[in-house]
Amino acid sequence: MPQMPDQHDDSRTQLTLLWTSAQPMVMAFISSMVPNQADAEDVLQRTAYDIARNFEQYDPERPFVAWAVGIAKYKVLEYRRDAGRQRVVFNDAALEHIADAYGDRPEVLAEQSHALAQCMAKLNEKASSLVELRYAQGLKPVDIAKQIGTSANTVSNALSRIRESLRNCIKRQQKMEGTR
Amino acid sequence: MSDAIDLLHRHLNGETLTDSESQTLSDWVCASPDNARFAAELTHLDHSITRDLRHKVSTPLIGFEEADLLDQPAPAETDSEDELPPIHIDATALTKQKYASAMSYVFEHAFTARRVAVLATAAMLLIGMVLAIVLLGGPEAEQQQIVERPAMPSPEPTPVLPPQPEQAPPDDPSLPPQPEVVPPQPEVVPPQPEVIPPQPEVVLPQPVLATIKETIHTQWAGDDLRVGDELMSGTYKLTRGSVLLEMASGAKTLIEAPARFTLTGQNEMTFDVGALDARVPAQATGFTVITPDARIVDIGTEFSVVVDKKAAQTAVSVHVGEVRASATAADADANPPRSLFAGDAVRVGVDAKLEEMEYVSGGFDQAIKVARSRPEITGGAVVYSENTPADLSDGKSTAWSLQLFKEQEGVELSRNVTVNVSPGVKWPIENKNVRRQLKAGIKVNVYLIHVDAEDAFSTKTYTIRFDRPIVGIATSPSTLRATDVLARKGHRRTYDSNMDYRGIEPNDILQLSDDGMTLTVQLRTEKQNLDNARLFVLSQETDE
Repeated sequence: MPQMPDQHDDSRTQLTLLWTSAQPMVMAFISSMVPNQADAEDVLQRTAYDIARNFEQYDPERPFVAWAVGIAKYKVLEYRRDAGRQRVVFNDAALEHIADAYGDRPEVLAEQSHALAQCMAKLNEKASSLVELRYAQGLKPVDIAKQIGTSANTVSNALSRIRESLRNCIKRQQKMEGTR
Repeated sequence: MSDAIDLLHRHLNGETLTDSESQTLSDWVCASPDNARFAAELTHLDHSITRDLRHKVSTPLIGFEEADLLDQPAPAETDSEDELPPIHIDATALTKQKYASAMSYVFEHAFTARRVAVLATAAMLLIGMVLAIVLLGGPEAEQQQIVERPAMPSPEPTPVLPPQPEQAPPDDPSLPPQPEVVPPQPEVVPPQPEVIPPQPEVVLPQPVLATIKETIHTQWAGDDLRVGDELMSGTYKLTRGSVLLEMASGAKTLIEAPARFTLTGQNEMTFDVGALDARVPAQATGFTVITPDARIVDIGTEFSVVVDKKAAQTAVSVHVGEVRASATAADADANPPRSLFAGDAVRVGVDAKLEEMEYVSGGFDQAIKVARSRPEITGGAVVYSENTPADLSDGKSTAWSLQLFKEQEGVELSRNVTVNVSPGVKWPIENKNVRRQLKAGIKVNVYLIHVDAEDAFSTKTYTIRFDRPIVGIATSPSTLRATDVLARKGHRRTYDSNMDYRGIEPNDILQLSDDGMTLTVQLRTEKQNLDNARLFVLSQETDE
């Protein structure tokens, strides 16, 4: 069980609230750079630890997510170094740019997860089952193709289109909420 | 550039990129901030989908969770108004909900990984939540005693009924007013000299917005509403059966469970989920139904609206006259109201535009007839349909629940029909040689029970109650095959070669009461399995 701290000052409460809302986004960033789930969680823990330890250095004028992702970025780089040479999709330069992009407009990303559920519900049956196989079960296109009796290429193309549809649907929802 | 986007998609799809493809993608990301933002957006979306699904997976019975919940005797947030001060529940529920969605990951993570840093933040979080509840709940609770207000809009489409007004007498079906019709504040009271009397207890009478004309096997979340009850502004949740409402304007609506709707005016309602059929006389022209993604305005007509509970997606069919429908999610300019005429059917598509769909003939009288003839079903989520799906082969028409289709009405048996189960007989039958026959000449309605589970399916008991006796049930592949011909034209289905899957296995239990009116079904289905049984219900016409 978590231990209740003896005293809780405003800054600790502040940290908790900020971290709580930023954490999904930080984890999204880490996952995009560290494909292995267990490793990604490990990096998240290290990031959380550093954030808690260095919280007094956080400048409240800046978006917290930007600061947190900045720390996560170093933790990912550290992880990459420790893990030795391994194949990465985004090299270190791309990683820097994507980290900046996460910190750039965090509210857009936060709204994205908010609108997602409704858009997911609008997917047709076939699309939802593909999404289920890919995301809930974590299967690769090759394995999905075997299960449903088609080619890996078809599966991958379908997933790309589904992702595009979801992105468009989310954009529309955001626009709608923005105009209200 | 589009190549790079394709690479990004393929990477997210789970394909392994080659070193040079990865290099191309990385270079593209570095080429402009817009590219990097796009990559951030897409990777974030992917992570969100995973989270969304994994959270769902942890709740059992995905397919019919709502209907199933509705069957529970007392879901805490909706039905316990009587026991606790309503606003208190609402405020904490909202607060919890809001925080739970934001913080679920922290908790999940903290307790599985047991790392100090996150544990500490989780502890802080609890304090934060308590503070938030006190701050948000406190003042609001006090305010609530003066002015009744509906629940704040919930961030998720979870059905939460607004609190019951405390002033209402116990049997009063009224629910709290919407903001538009909040009774005038005490300021309206004529000015009093100096001493203001204590807050008046009197609540101004609210206008009656609709009256219940008929109930068919109904069950409500909250107060039991009966024929003759007058409904005020507020949200109502029908968990079972159908209800016929007459709006104050004269518009008649038949609403079918599971449904949630809010009466917002004498000729207007919002309809969150469920099926609605309307007949709108001339004086009620303009009757408006607002769904989560559409707005339907009548121009003197009969029409149906179905809001799918999973997708919150609206479908509209016009049987007589004209309605104007618009998808509310789209920009008003881009998608002006569209006129729909008899025989038109549309639904709101994924792109928030109205798209054509196949019109299925119907109408108000027919909807009422169907509702009245519908068997009463308890014990679990059952899909009931007057129509039989086109393909009932194994795996083709799956659902998490038991499905019941009406195959035929009032057919006269031209010869004796062998059945496996008859009133008072229990399946599995001990002596298999005892088969009964239905005599040629009797008239029956024919129903098909169809269970085709999407996945491992736990044993579940259903009770199906007809207002006429079930005289026999075909449960074996051979008796089913022999009676397939009884389904009405257009509803005869061919089955694939897995015919032996049809029928009920010996480990299933079927019991027909002695009077034949009540059937209890306990089916154990497993993946790649199919259960069928055909019910013969004595038709009304036989004894007339």
